[in-house]
Amino acid sequence: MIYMLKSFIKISFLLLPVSVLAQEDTTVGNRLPAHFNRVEKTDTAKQLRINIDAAKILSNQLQDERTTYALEVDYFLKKGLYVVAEGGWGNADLLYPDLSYKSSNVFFKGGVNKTLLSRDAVDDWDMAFVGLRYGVGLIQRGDAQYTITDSVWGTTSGNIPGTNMTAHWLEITGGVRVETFKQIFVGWNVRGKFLINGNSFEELPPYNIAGYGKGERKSVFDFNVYIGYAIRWHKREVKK
Amino acid sequence: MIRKYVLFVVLLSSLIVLYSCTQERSPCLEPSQYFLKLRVCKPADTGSAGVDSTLPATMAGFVDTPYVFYTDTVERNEFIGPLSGIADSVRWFIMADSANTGGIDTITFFYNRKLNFLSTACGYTYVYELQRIETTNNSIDSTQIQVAEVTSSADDIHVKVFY
Repeated sequence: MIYMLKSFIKISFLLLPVSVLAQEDTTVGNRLPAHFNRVEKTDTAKQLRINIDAAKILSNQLQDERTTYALEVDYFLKKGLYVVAEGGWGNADLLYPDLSYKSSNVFFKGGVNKTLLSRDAVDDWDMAFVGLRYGVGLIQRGDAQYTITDSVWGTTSGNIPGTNMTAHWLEITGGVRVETFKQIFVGWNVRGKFLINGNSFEELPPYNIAGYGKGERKSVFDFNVYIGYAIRWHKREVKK
Repeated sequence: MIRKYVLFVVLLSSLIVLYSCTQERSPCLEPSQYFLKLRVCKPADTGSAGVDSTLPATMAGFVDTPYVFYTDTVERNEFIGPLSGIADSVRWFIMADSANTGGIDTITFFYNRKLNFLSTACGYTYVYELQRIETTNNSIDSTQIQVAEVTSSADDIHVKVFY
């Protein structure tokens, strides 16, 4: 008897969300008489999310050749569309006996993300998405020292003067953001990047372009792990 | 459940990223020195293209160093040898038949050097542009520049040497 009672209670708890959902459906839905003051939840929520690339910060600590700091801001427009702005800076030091030079750059990116799944509720901000970006990097490359070794004639050395360069690239990206705690997100992006003006770097490309990757490659793959914080407003109930 | 999955993927991916970040400089996997290629020819009955020929037992090397590229005991119709990265000319000796020291010739290549970036893994090298060639004529009849640019292209015959 006690066992049956326990089972009944358990089943009741399991079915509770379903019954709550069913009640919500009847109260929020359109089947109420017109003279009732209806409360309708309208998706007017706004969200601005600031993401820091945590993987880059960690990788900066593990090697000395290059550093990158990257920030991403996305803003929810409508219908699963986010406008995205990114920025950051970094530097690269290539210090080898046959080739050594330094470079630094800032970068900016703009684009959009489109979610692949519709939101379950007004406060559901988890997302899987694909996106496009245009990126530009303003690069300062220092003087380079090179040495060419010839097994017969010995070595020759020289300098390549430093210069300022601009890199332009396009990205396709995809990823996930999950709200693990209230307004705190974690997620990742994978990115395929395609350098538009790679031919202008043939003399000596920067070893690493922060925001892009290895400057000597015309296409690169990249991965980011983000920790983000969301700011929300205009989440209101509209009386009709 | 989905969140746990995402967190797992994030953690796994982070480890991959961190591993890749600790990789050292990539090894240089391409040739970092370019070589001049000569082909031995006989004059043709018509035209200037010549007919491929061979030398019986060649010895070849730099005149000004003890560096020798070939000490053959078999017939050969092509030679591959280095130019100099520190000078704009280099002189080879070519002995068509090592049994006949009287047939030794010197052949001097004059060229421009141009710095060429290979990659961050390999650094710089030189590409060369042949300007002219001077030879002695103990055995060699003449030379002809076919492809002036000495680069990574392995298929190019840069100079024809007529005997």
